[in-house]
Amino acid sequence: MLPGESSRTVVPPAAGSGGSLDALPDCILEHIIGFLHSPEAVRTSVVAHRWRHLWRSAPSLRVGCSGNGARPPPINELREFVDRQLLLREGSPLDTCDIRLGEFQRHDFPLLNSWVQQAISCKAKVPRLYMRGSWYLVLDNVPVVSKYLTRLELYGVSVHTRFLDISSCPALEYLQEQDTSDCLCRLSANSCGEGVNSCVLFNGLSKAKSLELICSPSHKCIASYP
Amino acid sequence: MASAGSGDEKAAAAAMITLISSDNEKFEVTEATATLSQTIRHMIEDGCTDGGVPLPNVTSKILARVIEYCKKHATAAAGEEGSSSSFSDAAFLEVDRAFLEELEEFDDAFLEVDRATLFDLILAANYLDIKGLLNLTCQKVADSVKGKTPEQIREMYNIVNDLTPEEEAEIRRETQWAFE
Repeated sequence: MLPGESSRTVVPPAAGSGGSLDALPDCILEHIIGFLHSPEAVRTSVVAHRWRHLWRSAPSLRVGCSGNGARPPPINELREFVDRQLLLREGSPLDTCDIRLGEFQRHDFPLLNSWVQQAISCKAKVPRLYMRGSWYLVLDNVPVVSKYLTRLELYGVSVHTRFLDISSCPALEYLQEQDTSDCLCRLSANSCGEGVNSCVLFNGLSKAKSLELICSPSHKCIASYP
Repeated sequence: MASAGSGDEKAAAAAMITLISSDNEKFEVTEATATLSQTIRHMIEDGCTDGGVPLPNVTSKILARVIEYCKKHATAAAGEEGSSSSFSDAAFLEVDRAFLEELEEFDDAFLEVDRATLFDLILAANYLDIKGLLNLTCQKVADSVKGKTPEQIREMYNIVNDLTPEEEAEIRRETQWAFE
């Protein structure tokens, strides 16, 4: 393959950019927009005609991460917003999907789970879920299936008494679970020691370069590497 | 290190790639540096780098900067691989941390360029498919528009507003949820 032939790489104009943002191809503007957190990314649609739909194909979706260390907003402020954003992307591929949420309720679990599934079905390589509510988000008991997933970061989620089945994610290299409920930690301890579970959890990690299990100080966490 | 290892390893360590800029300047770089570019990695795999790799739309000024970035980050990648087997060793972690800090300082200094150079670096990073450099430079542009209104973005980057007031109102209606 020659330079510039892959889907998202473009041969630069012979005269260079000339210092003009307009000289950059759409795929680069989309990449730049992907670094903005969500409402700002969508608001670029009124910069000029060319910018109208760029946010829909931005390779990253960042929700609730203002970046200044503030507590993420509650789900009430984001519900419609995230729903529409995921819907209007019409499945265009995502590299990073970073969703940070503050307060949510138990009845929000199905919606939150559907966001996770939608992010995975948008071929997200790096989904990052950061939950800071008074509940742990209980993930649905379905295997995570994606050949694109390379890095999975979960904060404040729980899989209850089950385990997180990532055996169908052959590209996964990095899994980080932080501030998860005791169940997930206990589960990992169980899964290391007791045959079947251990196979399911660690088969998916055959290419893993690192595994980090971090739990709150009040919970005992035993992690071992076979 | 060329003095250690088997003959094959010596050959691999010595493998050099020649990159040729649009103004016909030749740059000799190690394979480890060159392969930070996925585009060049594919060309090496396909065996089409003999006689040099012409990059007709990258000037020597920009290519020199790109190579500077790749050299620094190729060393970082090699260091990471070398230390992964001793990740539990606190001394190694300390060295890693110091190196990461140094890398961050390098990146910050690297970005101290004028707008035209920054955009040309973005174009080159995209063309050569160097993910780290593309992210670094695009993040810099994104940071510059963060917190700005569409009007301010237009002013900052001399973008002509070619939307009629009716069209702008229509888009705002469509994406009202983002403007509330």
